[in-house]
Amino acid sequence: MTDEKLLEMVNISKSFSGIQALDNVKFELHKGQIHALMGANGAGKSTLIKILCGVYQPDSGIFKIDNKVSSIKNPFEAQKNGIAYVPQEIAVQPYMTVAENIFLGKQPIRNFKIDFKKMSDKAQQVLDDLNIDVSVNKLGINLSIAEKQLITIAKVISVDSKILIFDEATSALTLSDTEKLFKIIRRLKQKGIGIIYVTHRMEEIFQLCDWVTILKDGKFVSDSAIKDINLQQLIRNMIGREVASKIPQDSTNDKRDPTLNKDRFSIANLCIPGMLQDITFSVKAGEVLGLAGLVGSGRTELLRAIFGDLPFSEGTIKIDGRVVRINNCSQAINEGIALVPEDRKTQGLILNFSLKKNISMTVLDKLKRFGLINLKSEAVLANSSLDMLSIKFRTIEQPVSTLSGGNQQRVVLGKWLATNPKILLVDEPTRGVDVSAKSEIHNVLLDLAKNGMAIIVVSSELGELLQVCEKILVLNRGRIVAELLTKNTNTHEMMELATGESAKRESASNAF
Amino acid sequence: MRFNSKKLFLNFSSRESLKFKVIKNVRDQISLILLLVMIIAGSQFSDVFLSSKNLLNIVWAVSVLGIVALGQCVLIIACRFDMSVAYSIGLCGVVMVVIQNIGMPWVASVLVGVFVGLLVGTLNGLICVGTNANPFLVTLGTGTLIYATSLTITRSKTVYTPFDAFTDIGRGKLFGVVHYSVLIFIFLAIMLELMLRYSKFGRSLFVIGLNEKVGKLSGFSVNKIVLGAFLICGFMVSIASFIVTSRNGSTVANVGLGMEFESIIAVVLGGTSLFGGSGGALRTVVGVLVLGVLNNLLILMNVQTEVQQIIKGAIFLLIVWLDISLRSK
Repeated sequence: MTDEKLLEMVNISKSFSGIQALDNVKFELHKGQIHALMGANGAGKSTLIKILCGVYQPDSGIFKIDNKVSSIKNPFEAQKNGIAYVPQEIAVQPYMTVAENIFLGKQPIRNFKIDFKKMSDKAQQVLDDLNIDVSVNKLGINLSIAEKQLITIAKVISVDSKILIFDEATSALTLSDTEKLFKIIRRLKQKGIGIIYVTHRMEEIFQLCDWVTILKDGKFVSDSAIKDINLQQLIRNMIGREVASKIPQDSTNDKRDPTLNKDRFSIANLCIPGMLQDITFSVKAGEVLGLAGLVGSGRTELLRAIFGDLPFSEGTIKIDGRVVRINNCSQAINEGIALVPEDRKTQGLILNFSLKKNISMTVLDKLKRFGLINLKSEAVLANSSLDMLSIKFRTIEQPVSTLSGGNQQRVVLGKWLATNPKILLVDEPTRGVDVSAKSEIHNVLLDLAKNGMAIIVVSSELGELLQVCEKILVLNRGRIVAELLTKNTNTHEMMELATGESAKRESASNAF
Repeated sequence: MRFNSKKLFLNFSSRESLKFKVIKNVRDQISLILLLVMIIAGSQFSDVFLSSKNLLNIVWAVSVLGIVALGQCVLIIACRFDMSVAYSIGLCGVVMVVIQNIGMPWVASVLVGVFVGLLVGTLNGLICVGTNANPFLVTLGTGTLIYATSLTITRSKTVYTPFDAFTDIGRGKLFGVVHYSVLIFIFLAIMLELMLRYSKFGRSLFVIGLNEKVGKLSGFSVNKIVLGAFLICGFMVSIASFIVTSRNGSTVANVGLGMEFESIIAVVLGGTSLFGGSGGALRTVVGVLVLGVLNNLLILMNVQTEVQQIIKGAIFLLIVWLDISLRSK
């Protein structure tokens, strides 16, 4: 690492309507450095980044870029200063080609017209440079999620920049695509670009970064070289205490009430042409089943189909041995199924609604008295759900958008637990959630299972599945390719099965 | 949601600055503040303005528009529109009067008129739900069809009611003080406000106005809710039609000319977002009263009709601008 300072932020403070979001924070970035910016939800990471990108103005503090004091008043000035941001959300126009997407807003012009030939050539160059294997003529709508993420990155990188900010860039990526992204980031580092890397995934930091700055509650906690810090210290600095990261596995099978040991939920020969084929499995009461697979392997579609959000042509679903027909979500809810969806912000919660209204949304019928919603019982329900999930809140009337990601996720859980479900489907339960909230959500899931709920968990984080599930099904291109017992498997084996070219049934000892 | 925000800021008060609280409150009640300002200004300009007779007249004058705006408000909360109200108000009245003239008693004819309103609502709702097309465009289309139907029935002429009793409702007053139509308007507004606040259906309108996907995944039937919203709008239109027809003693196909836009303006003036998910019936009443007071003042001040239009347009733009600039704070 060269010692040339690219960026120095000193004593940055920022408050929003009386709430101190950043309090005298400092941050330094050197040339060719991959610098992790860490902190729990609400620590002030995004505020700091938005200040750097010119979205917010700091209340006080000094900026130095290339050792010169400067100020960034708006996003254009940030761009001029060579600061580029790779967003967490994917920004690809569906009906434009890859080349058009990459050069959106900066298309090469000849004779007052877009020079498509030149644009394709340059786009190809950018993709080759980054070793991304996607045709420049493919339409945005035909790209996989991982490809979209890579194109978003290519779009940002195609502008010459000195400082690149990655904000949870891997949250939608699978392991192999993450590896690809890391290679790209390492190549950019060699070019002398300074990289700020924000993530909740601890293991990535140790793989990729060489320096780390930790924020907590809007305050600077520490910065150090990655090699001088270990995971335990990092977590302690972030949340101020230790987190029990391993949940005892042995307790689950033996101590369970024997009466629970029958199939609560089973599904046979489920088919959706082009998405899912011949899906058959069952879940016992009190069991946590994991579904592993790449994005697009059909794992989310499977949950949606069970929940009545996706019609299927063939297949039978049985609950407690009884065949049920589910055509829409409300029938699924009546049968005792609940779905915690993939994206809490667009599918799980109404962000402008209060905590109370979000939680009661699924059970309004039960809260009715004389045909109207009984506001008292509604408040009682909201208070008890929030307390049960130990969500920190000021009032049940506050909009759910004021909560941190981890707490929001727990509100989604609370909303569904209010229906008292027999079968809980959870899609990416801890995406974008910090470590401490993560382990608390895991504990809630395990507690629910202990009390007899059947739970199906979908997650891109294979480590998470190994922690909470007893049994894991691996999906590959819409088929179940393996059924694994957690104690006999590891992330490596799961990854191989999930990415395997031939969808053959593997692992003789565990296959069904 | 909006009508809870007062409670909200009290609880937040320890952590929010005074300035922020003031902005929040002003933003929330901007139309009510405007209404009060106009009433105070009005009392300065004119001696008769504050007389109870004049104030009741204002409400009487806007009660028909007000009832249509209540229906529109339900749709706007659910992030939909009905552009056909201007013509369905004509059709309901035309049907009422025409069947009176072929011998049906007036009470029965009113019921048929309400039925026509519900039918129009069902038609609009079914097309929107079935085709997933933009309600704005669908109802522009059905509006034209409805207008053509009324024109055909009346052969483009004014039709008159044969019953004096029929006109009593629109023109008469309870104990000689308050017009029945004002009482009907207030009654409907209160019922609607209660429904929006305390019923599951009311809550679900806000849910789908803000996020349909969440609503669907939470077990709400989006289609049924949209259909229900159109039915309520159709019902309100038919009541408004009954009042205006009874008041005039006659009707024409285009009796509601311009009401589709005026009703939307009233709803938005009341502080309901055009993007759905907020607002309420009482807010809409305030919006309608702002329009009514403004009209009344301009007439009392002998402002020319053309200038009246300019002032109305300017005030509407002012509200929109204030709303947006306060919202961004």
